Amino acid sequence: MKINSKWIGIISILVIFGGILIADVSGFWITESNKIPVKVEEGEFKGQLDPADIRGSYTFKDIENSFNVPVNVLAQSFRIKADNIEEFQVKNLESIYSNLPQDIDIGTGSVKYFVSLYTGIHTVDGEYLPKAAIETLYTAGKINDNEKEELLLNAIDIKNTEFRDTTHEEEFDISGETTIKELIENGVKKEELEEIIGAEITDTNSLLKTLSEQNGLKYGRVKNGVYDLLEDN
Amino acid sequence: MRKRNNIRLMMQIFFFVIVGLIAINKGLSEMGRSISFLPKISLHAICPFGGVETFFSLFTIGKTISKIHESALVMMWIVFGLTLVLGPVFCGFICPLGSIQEWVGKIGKKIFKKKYNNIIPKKIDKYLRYTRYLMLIWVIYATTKSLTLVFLEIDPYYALFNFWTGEAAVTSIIVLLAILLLSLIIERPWCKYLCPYGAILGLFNKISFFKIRRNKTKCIGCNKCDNICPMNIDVSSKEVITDTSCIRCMECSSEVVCPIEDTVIHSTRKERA
Repeated sequence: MKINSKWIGIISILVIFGGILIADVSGFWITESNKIPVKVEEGEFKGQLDPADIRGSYTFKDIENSFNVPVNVLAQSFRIKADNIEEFQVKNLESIYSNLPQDIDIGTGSVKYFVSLYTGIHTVDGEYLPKAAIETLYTAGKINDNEKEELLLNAIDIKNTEFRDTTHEEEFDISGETTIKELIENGVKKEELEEIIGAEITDTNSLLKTLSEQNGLKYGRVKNGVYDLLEDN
Repeated sequence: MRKRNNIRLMMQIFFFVIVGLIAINKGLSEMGRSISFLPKISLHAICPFGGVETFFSLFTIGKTISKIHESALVMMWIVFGLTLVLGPVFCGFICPLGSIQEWVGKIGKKIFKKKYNNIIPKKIDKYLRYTRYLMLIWVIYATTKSLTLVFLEIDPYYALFNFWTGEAAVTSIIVLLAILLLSLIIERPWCKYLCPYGAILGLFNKISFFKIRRNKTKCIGCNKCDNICPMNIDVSSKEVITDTSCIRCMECSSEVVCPIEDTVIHSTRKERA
């Protein structure tokens, strides 16, 4: 029996799409993680859900559901503020903290380690943690003084980082060219801006960046403060 | 005179577009937007080689590797089944990375004419063909050991459809650009020398039910089949092509370049050429 390109094409399409259809109907066509970690197979923690199996696609809510680590504890520990914090995916940490020194990672591995310490299921080790996360663990009684000291050796201070959730409606974007007048038009009060900058604003056509620098302030911090005001409004 | 294989070209464009749309939609969905009638799935979910990568870890230690899902294993088996029957038609008719190398190669053909695809001496080329097996062994070993997709660091296929998302490793984008540049002087360089998936599928050339067969009594020895073969196989010296490099593109066949009807055909043993 011989076969030409036409039949190769037809058979290939039938086999591929037919195979996918059959797999889908049979329940085998799974294209994303089911967000349930595997269980530890042996040792002291056998049978418990394994923090080492946390994937980047997991949200804070998925982790809360599996490990009973509250969403707000995770958010506070990794210094994340977002509109829909429950849906924050762990893998986003890597891009948020991409400005850290090259051999330092705050990402999925850090979350695994944090959850491992929080739950006492010690299947993960040796990752960097934010200082805030270590404080949370200590305050919650999950680690003792010695463990805290040891963890602080590999701790990163990330107090000035904030995640802006871009999956929702576009918010007013502050740039180096944003004026005080534009901020007022978007609902920020002049008095609130003066409080952040620490000086009276006499010309509303001034650039926020210029005023920040003139008053010896880091523009990034002022910008974050103004974003908070925009959110509140 | 060479006829054009429009069916194969249409298949290549079809799968290139489908994969491209899936990748774009995944990227859009990460930004909170998406095209409603397209699936919001990662390329990892439909990559049959992902299934190969995770198969060994699943088999040896019972765990899938990060980012790979059951659908990739389904794709792996589907393509293996197709390849067992028809040979590596996935390479010749479907793989988007192979397709884009071919399309870039057409520019190279126009520039370099007879020198195109004849630059590497056969003695060296013969041994270089084994490097894709080394790649395969390294990928499987490193992936199974680390339970992560180490291949992503150099995967030009993933880079091709994700270079705009920020998710493709810089090294993989460099590999992609290098492959596309090389495609100007060598036809399908990734497929010939580096593709770990092609390395596996190529082995099916030895056992597939359908094979490329040449009728030596009808053959006039014009060597057009040799000249056209993208993988530099000496079709005219063989009666059955079992070369592991064959991608079943059908370019050597009587359907395309062979001037004599039913002389080079794709058939089972019962219908020899």
